[in-house]
Amino acid sequence: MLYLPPIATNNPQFPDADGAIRSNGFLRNTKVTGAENDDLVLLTLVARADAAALGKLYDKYQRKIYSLVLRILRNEEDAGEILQDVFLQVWEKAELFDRDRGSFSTWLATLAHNKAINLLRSKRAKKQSLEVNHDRDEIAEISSDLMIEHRTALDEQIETSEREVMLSLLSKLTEDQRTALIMAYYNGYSQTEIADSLGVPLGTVKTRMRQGMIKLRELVHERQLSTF
Amino acid sequence: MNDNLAHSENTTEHERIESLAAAYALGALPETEPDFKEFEALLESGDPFVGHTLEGYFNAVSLLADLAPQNDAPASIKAALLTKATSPSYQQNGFSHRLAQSEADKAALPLERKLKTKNRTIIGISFVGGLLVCTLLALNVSNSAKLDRSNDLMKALLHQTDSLRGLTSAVTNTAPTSSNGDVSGFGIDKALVGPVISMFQEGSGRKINLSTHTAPSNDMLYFSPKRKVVVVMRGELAPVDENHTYELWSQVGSGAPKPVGTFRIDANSKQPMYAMATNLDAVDSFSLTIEPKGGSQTRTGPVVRASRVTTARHM
Repeated sequence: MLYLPPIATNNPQFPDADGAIRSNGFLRNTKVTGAENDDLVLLTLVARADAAALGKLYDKYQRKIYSLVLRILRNEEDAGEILQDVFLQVWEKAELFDRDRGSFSTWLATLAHNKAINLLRSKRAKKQSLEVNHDRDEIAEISSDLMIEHRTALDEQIETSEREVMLSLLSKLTEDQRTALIMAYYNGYSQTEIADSLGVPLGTVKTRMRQGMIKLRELVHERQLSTF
Repeated sequence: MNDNLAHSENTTEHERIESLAAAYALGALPETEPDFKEFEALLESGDPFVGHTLEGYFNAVSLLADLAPQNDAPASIKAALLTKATSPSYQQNGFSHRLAQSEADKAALPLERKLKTKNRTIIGISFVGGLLVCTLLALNVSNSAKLDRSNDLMKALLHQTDSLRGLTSAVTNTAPTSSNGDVSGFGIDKALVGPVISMFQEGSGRKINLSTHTAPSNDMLYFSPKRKVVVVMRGELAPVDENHTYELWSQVGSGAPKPVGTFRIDANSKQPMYAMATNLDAVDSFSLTIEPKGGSQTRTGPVVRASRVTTARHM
């Protein structure tokens, strides 16, 4: 069973000024931000087979999604296929998006992450050699790779800024928590594999993941509140 | 003392759920993991704490995506995406939209069109009286898993006529059993018998194959804006515990889902159809969730089935 995520990123206590929109005669009750509003309008059109709307959603999110899956798969061809597959699923199942439970961006990222991780694991299985690296240098490389500054053109400043914020949030986790989260999210390791890799009991990994996620959730929540 | 003990057990259980949800949200709980089945069962239980916890973690985890070094995708991917999405071959594989479906219907094989026509003719001739037709559809759906969409009515007619007759009285004698719209036993709410019969008799309704998140299911949905009725035909829907119920939602685009009705399937239920009265002036998609007993005004449980109206076919 695949549980599609959708989470409420919009806090109803801090509604956006232009939150409510009308769609085909139906008044939407939940306030959403302007950006989410745009997504919902485009999704409505996608649900009605508007390929141009799909193209606009693609333009808006291709960078985020492609970057994510490329980092996971480290293969441009595979990343491109996953990217296309994700947006075909948007095209196919736009009605499954539940805006009451989260933003389209979250839904999309989770969909892409699931597909990328599944492909990664499938390739590992075919190789008959699970690449669980027992060397802590590998883990350090994962972290440092993610932490590398990627300042590019001016039009990327906002994204870079977002990245810096996330890096600063992540730095508030302990190293053990951060390692567990990154190995799972970006390298597709299961909790058992992480335990084997780090040479620690499975229960320890579970605790690190749980505490790390709780901390990250709190930090993200604080950040969302501070942006209003 | 007992309160403290209960609190402790509750906290431990919550920590357990948080731990499972954290691993799941991070993608660290594949099917091969020992804990996978336990968490899957928790998800299907509809426990609000599970859903709430998982949603919070998904929200946090999705932002980890922003950590990846930023790269634009090759331009060729967009062109390939749009070409594929709008190609007839892709749409005919089950991803069709309204306009494409219309075109596909026009291009349907002559034999298929003939069978459709034959279906309607057979129904009209063979089922004098709406109740029998209604029963046919009920049985049809209980067996629809193996039936071709375009031939299901006809095959049901050819193979199940005797059984249908035996079940007619069961339908006609069934009374509504609850005030919140739930139905139980074999039949449907008496108030809905007329509209349901009319929908099937007239062929005025449309039918949709409901999908899970990953694949089509054998569960079907029939609806008629004219008769203001929706019927869910159970194929694979699993029983829910006594504290939960299925709830059907209609939705326009990505707007707020509107509750259509609730129905329960328990472990002993053999009822193949669940009818609900509703106004459907505008609807683009249906979804089915598991909600707390009595239903919800807004969706709170996981979406277990959904389908867009654009994939509907005429009955």
